[in-house]
Amino acid sequence: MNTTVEGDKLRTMLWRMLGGAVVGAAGTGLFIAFVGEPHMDLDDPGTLLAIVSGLSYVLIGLIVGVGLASPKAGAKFLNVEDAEEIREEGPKLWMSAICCILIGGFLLTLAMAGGLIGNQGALIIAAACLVGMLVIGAMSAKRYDELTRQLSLEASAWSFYAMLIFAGGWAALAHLGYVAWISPLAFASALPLLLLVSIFVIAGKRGLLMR
Amino acid sequence: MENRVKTCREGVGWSQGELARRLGVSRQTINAVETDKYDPSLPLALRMAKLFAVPVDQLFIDHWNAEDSE
Repeated sequence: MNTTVEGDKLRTMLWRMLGGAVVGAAGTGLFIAFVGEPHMDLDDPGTLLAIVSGLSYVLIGLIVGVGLASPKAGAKFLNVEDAEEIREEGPKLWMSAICCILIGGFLLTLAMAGGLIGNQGALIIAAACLVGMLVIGAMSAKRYDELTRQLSLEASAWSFYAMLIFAGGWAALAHLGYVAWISPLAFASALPLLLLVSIFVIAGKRGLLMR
Repeated sequence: MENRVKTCREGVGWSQGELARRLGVSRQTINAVETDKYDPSLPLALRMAKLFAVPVDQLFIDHWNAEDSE
């Protein structure tokens, strides 16, 4: 492949990443401005982590959803060759988008629990998100082709080992009294965030972020 | 692993989408195989070889040499 084509692909990938970062930052800013204090405890690192992790998933889900609703526009910002590929992958992508929104919804509900949403309401919404996520995730997994399955397996393994090192190491230090143990919300938020980072690392390592 | 999937596909005049549809995988998988970003599973490699009517070792070229490993 010649240098110009490679350069164009790299530029496209960087623009997409920059666009994603801007949308993420703007989304987080707007969420904190409109829903933030006094509805949530923004001094709690766990809440902040849940907001970042939850919003990342919600925004990814929404961006994919917008791309699916308008494949022509979607081909410009999603990692596909053209609009036709979005149509081909439509059912699988719809399920992934919904799954992302449910994961994000789960985390944001927990972040808002005890503030904007009562604990009982939060339990019902979070449980519904979790069940929906499991059902749609299982349906989506059946449609995986071997590349997606392979990436998913590798990302799961990476996030497991990262969790083993970070959470295991932190737990060991907390047990020995050197640090305080992280909040349950921080723990719940870190898991999907690690998985998300792992997916990008795995895809990036294989050069799959550039098409 | 080096492969000749793109050459074979273009030889029969199929697009990546057409080959993906015939093999029951995504277009991204075909693209990743053709650009050496992903080595397909044995069943997929066999299906590709069958589809192009070529032996697997002519479609996927492994430069490993048994003598070199001794």
